[in-house]
Amino acid sequence: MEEELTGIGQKWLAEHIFYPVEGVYLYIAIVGSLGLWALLIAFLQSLPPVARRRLTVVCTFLAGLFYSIEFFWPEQGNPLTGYIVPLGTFLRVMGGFTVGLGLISLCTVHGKAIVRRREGWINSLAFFVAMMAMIVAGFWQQYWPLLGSRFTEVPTEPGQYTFSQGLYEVLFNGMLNPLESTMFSILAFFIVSAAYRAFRIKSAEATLMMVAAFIVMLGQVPVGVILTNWIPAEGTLGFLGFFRLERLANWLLSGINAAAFRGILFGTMFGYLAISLRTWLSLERGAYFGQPM
Amino acid sequence: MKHANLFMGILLPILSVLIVGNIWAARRGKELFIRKIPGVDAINEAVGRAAEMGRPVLFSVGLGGIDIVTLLAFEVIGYVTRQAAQFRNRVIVPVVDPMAIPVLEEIMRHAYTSEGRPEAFDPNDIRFLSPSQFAYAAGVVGIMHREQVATNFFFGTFYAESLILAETGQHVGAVQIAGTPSALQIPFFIATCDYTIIGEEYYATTAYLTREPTLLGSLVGQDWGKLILLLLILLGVAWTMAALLLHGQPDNWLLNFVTAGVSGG
Repeated sequence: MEEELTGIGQKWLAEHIFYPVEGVYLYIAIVGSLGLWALLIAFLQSLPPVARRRLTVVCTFLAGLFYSIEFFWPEQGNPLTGYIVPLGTFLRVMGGFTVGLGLISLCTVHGKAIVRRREGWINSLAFFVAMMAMIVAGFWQQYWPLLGSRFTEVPTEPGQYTFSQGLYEVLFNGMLNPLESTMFSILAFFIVSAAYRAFRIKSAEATLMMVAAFIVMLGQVPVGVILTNWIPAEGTLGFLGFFRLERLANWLLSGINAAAFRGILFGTMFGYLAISLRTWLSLERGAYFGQPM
Repeated sequence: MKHANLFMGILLPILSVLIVGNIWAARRGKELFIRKIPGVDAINEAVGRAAEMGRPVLFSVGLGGIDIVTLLAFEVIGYVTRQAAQFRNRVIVPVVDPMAIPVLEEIMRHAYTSEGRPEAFDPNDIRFLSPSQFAYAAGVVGIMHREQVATNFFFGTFYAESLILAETGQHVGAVQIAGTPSALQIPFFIATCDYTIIGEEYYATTAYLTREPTLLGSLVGQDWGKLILLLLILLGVAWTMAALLLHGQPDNWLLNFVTAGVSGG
């Protein structure tokens, strides 16, 4: 689906500067972009710290101003909304450059562990083997799917794979996904041990929590409903129906719990608004913002 | 809501002016009070304990990218690292976002240098593990066991991995301090950590640590904002009650005014 170019001047930019190129022009554009990027980085590095900080302040303010105006301007005829998607893409591309940093970090830590034969170095070796296997399998199935396969073209039937696709399936869906699910399933055991620790009656608050948890847990299961279904829910004593476990549990969840939860959310959102304003207006203090705590 | 409706167009600028106005007043020397936050008070104690035991400190910033929540966690890392640097202790920071590595390197190097211990900083203590949630959790759990960390800090955005991390910390006998605005993870941290900094306390941490007027003023502005919201809630309740009493049915004018243009639940 073609994106609508509703932003101010966006159509002109798309027609005259950011139009698609092919063939040799594509490679020139890629090399040119990388060159420009390198020049920009070199320029930023050459700036004295004070100038760099001022530049950061100006860029932060302009970026914040853009998103604020875009938000407050009514949707109809908003001249900035069209730029939201391209700017998001730009940020994602910038983030993509840092994947290399992550790889360098991983390789340094595990490489040193192997070279110095640190305890558990065999795990570091496993990391390199796994990483290389995934890289090779990924590229192989993406770019040369027929290499080493008995098929002469990529199979389209479900369950049929070329060798490279099968390898990738085994590594990704057969190994990585189950390993992640295994980590997730550990949660079930941790919830039990955490709940045991939390519900030990050692203070008034813990007792209250224990009682509330007991009611909510029983109120969610059939046995809880059976236990208190003798309490009349209709007639002259119908008001006593509130004390049926399922109703009590529902009141605890949708009344008390929801109110407390919303209270926390209000506070959190105000904190978010405050720190966003401080960052936007460069009023923030701290190591990241140039003024050490 | 992708764009502000009339209500947000009025409310947000008022709240923003309140916050910025209070920052301005605080900078002019107005005395401000901040209540005790036990979790933040315990940071120095927890770092000192790790130094006494001769074991490292682990600081997880969760799964957030470089956003406001994570930036605040970076500030706390700076503080914790300075405390640890005084004892030449290590702070291990596993991350999910490689973009965080250069930022953290700068913050931690500066912290060690400012305490006169530049040689104690090891860039390999900032470890990119994986961008995947449970691979990251597995990596952090592994570090906790291998390094036998004495203190764990969990500051940032957390999801289901919060309990895996904090329970493992319990098993290795670490003192644990968590701070997160992720409301759904707060109960897990409360159940497993020694101290938990919840909700807005998270955003007050840097103000509490530094007593910097700008940050304290911002906190006062937040409190005024909450008061306005509370009054709006009371107004909504009174409006509905009055309509019910007078007309026998609720009047949705106020509700429609507040939620105009808001889609979804």
